[in-house]
Amino acid sequence: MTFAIQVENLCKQYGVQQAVKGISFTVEQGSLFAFLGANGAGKSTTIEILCTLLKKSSGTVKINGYTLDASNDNAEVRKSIGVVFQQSLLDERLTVRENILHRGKTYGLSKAQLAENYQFISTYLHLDDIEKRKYGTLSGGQKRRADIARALIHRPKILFLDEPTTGLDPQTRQFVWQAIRQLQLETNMTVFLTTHYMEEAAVAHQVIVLKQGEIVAEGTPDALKTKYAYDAMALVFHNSDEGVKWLEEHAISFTEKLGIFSIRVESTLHALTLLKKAEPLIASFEVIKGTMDDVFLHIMAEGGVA
Amino acid sequence: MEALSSLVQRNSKVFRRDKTQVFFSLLSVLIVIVLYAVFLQKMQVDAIEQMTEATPELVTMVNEWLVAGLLSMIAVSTTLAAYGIAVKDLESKAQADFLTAPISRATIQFSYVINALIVGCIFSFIALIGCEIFIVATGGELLSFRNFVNVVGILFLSVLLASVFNLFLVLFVNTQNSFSTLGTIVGTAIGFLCGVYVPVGALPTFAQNLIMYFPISHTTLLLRNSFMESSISKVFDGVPASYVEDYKINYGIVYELHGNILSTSTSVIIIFVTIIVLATLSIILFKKKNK
Repeated sequence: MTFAIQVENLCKQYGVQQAVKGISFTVEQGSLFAFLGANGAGKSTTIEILCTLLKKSSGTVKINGYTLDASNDNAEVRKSIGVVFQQSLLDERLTVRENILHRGKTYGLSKAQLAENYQFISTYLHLDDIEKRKYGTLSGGQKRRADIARALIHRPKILFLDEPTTGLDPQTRQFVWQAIRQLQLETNMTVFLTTHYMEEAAVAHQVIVLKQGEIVAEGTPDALKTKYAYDAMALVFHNSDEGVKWLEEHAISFTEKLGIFSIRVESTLHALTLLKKAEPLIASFEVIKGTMDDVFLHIMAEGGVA
Repeated sequence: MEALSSLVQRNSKVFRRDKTQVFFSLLSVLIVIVLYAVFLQKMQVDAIEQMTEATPELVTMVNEWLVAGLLSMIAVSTTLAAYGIAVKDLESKAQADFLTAPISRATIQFSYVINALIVGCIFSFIALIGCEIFIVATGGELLSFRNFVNVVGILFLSVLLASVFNLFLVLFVNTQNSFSTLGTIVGTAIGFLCGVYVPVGALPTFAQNLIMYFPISHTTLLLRNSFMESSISKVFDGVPASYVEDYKINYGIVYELHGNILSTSTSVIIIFVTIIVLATLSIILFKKKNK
């Protein structure tokens, strides 16, 4: 197993405030890695350190085998990573193509190599229709495509995405995701992502939840869901009093709001057995699958470190 | 090297396509032209008429006096405007994006300086051609070849000086708001400090000294010397030498310090020393800022 990123005991201190408090984790080559956390949890600080934009206070970080802050290694790190920032940072008055090629040249690629890379990226992100337009005139989604293309122009081994889909409409979000996933699968690129959208974290191979500079949960989305989320069922009875009686008889704990009863179920099948038993009493029902949202909210509410 | 040249190309494209930025960088120059057309030219011609008889050469001489001042102002205002990109990149975090590529902060900063030099040179050269057309159209003569070479050399020197001078100032600026304030201050002050809005002789002594010690005003002085050389000798033909000297001192064509007339080479040395000192200070400041 090769690791794209190895972080050991990473600390970052701003004056007296500790933004990142000794976190350790590894990211497998070719995987999709999601970094979750509320605002101010230390996500951006961590990502900036990994991208060589910010100096760490202590700890060791290895990116693609190069040790961060070791002599000359940062340049090698930079050659092997691409970064998509939260904000759109390309030049408004230059065309998409000019933007990407100008920045591509700063990697010391030959003209031919640059043209080849551009062609490759362009097909994935459908740049044809926007490449001659000024960046400033593009819509949010088109800008994002250009941003990602810029981050990929030197064909990095790791792509860092800092909340890449914030503020995009659902269709564009899906398009951006498909493009990233496809590229990742076909080129074995590692994707390191921070996001607020839990459904995006749900497709990751590995998830880490950061809270106040510490890792409070980590694992696959399934493992986290098993641990922190549960499926629920909402029930409406023909007669609420009879419903309450039935629930109490079966020793099922519930909460009630406006005649809707919520109960916790082990699984969808478990819900089905319950439904069969109580069928004559039930007017309507809904089974609610546990989501990454639950995981996130649960962990954030927990307070302590898991 | 490739990265640097790519950055410079990018900077210059971004600058060129920002038409309002280009316009505002020339605003202080346009103001001078308007002031001159309205009353500055007439005031000067009237004043000199009292020493000698009015000839067509007199108007040409005054016009030449103006264009020399304009050219030195253009070097300052256009190079400063070129640094607007640096401030914008800093504030918008675009610099962070550049830094994810294997280039250093120093390379990025250097690319802004080179861009400022290029912008300054291009504008100065275009302005020089414009000024020569203006002089000829109003009945004057083209610069002699020797003076033309001199002027081009001085212009290059003044662009270099202005680039370093503005670099030093811009290093204290982190937001576009403060940058536009800086632009207003520099744009206004430079016209006075080069003795373009008002001739040096009309100012109180302390202001005269301030101007003499202000290095950029020495580029104005050198330019005036080259531009006005032949017309001064024509206009003041037969006028006592002491009158001519008074005129030259009052209108900032030569500086008199403690009773001595500063030589041309002294001005050139002042300019070079200032360039070296400001460049060194800028490097120190830049390193301190990026510790």
